[in-house]
Amino acid sequence: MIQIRDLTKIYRGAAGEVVALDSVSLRVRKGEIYGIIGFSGAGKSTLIRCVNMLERPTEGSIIVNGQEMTTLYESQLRTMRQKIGMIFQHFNLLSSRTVFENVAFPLEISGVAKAEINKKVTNLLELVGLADKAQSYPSQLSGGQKQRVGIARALANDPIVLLCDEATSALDPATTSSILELLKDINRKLDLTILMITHEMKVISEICDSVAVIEGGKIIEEGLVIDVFTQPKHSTTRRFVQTIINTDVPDKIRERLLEKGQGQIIRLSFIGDNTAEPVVSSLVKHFDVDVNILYGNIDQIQDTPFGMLIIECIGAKANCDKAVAYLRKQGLRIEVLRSAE
Amino acid sequence: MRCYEVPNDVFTHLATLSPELIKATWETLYMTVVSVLFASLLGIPLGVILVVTDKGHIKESLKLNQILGSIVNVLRSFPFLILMLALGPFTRLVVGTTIGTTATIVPLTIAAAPFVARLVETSLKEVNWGVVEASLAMGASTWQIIRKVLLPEAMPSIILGTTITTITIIGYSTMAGVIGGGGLGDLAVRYGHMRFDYVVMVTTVIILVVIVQVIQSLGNLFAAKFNKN
Ligand SMILES: Nc1ncnc2c1ncn2[C@@H]1O[C@H](COP(=O)(O)OP(=O)(O)OP(=O)(O)O)[C@@H](O)[C@H]1O
Ligand SMILES: [Mg+2]
Repeated sequence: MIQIRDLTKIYRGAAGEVVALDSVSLRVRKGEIYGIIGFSGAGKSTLIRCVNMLERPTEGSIIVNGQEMTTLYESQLRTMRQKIGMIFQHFNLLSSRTVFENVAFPLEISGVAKAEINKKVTNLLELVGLADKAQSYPSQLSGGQKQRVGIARALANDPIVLLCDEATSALDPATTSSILELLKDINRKLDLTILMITHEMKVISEICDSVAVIEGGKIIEEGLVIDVFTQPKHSTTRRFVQTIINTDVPDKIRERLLEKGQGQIIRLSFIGDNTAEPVVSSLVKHFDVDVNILYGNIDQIQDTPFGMLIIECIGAKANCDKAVAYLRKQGLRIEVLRSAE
Repeated sequence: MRCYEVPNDVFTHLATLSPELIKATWETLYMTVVSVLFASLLGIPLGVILVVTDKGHIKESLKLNQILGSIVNVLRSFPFLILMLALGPFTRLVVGTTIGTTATIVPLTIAAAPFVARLVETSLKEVNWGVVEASLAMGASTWQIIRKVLLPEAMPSIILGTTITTITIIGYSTMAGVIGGGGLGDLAVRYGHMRFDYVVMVTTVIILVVIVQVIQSLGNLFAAKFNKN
């Protein structure tokens, strides 16, 4: 649905050149929610603003729904933009217009008839749960409500793609979740492709299907969210993953690793249905070892459970080794943090 | 040497002069209202062009921006009295005469238009850029952004600007007597200054103060009505 190839953006200013994007390529499939995450200054806003040409790329190609964006004339670009919805961190609603009139705005722009506008706006406000606020002004709304208006407005012209520029960064955690839920809902109901940028891993984990990690204007890692979460390759990615899932060994246990002890300390990581618990109980049953659970952590990325368990396996060395070999066969990721004496 | 002419009965004096006072008040109001109207007609588009052609704005055109900016600056640096006299030939071209109340409207308009332009420019520049970008992202044209975004969003500020313009023009209009324009200023000069008739002088000042107060209050009222923040 969106295909970006070798996109480079260089800002030329008095202070010299800033390479904001350096040969970025990525592909967003129809109907998916694609997240781009990065720290401040990584180039996220520049990237998403290039998609609808709010920012002119220095080089490269952007294809939205089969249409090359970089070569469009002004009037063609305007028509195309009407089909690309966008929501913003600071909502950017017209303060002089009511909620109703704000949602009607893009329809006025594309020349929709009055009766049709009334019908559409009413439906959209229903969809985002703001039917009772139609006649309020933005200044009378909470942040979450404002973003709902922003979403309704972005959907008004039946877009083929929705761009979200830090759509939840100005909201508190509870409101963030409700907005994310709404976006997921819309994505499912309308089969709408969503491209979103964020600096919060929580946003990615809650609703994205795919994720790209951007740093210094380059995509450093990309893939399905579940893969990137469970096997982050780049250290920046690991930092992001750790903001929501603690894959680190807690300090208490780290101290214990340094102490001498008789058992083996093992970390099991698991994804999906093969949770570790039945495995642990069969260790005890079949290998004549005692198992001590030191630390456990289970999280959910969308519908997939994901977590780790740190166990101490106490028993004869041979038995412990056999137990580890067994664990490896169960499709779990195993790391021996401390071997037995 | 002339004596002070202080009438013992202020009210009888004012009553006999009331036709003059009413006429002068109307002249002032007429000059002001019509000039503000024409000045806005010229100044608002000028202010809009100054904004949208500025660097990084929706219709960047630095050449045009500089040319218009210079014209505005030159006009604004003329003292009104001099502008009024210097514009004589132009005034004759437009209204057919260089004297009288209607003739005063031409220099008043020319003096106020660049003033309006700068005020409108300031107002439009205060409009949240994010809103303009959102409109661009929705595929709005330049004209749609001006008409549906910039002007409505800046409306409270433009109304307050118009209030300032109106009050400034009332101030300018008191010099209209120089080209036979009449008005309250002229009355004050003819009676108060030349005939030492302080009753008339004070009365005209009071009328001017009341007009200014009313305009300012109306301006504040309308601005508040349009302000949805
Ligand atoms: N208009 C501009 N002119 C010059 N440099 C710019 C401009 N916009 C962005 N940059 C630079 O480009 C780089 C990427 O900026 P960008 O806004 O895309 O980052 P970001 O990932 O969105 O950061 P944040 O999370 O802080 O919003 C930064 O180094 C920034 O300073
Ligand atoms: Mg940004």
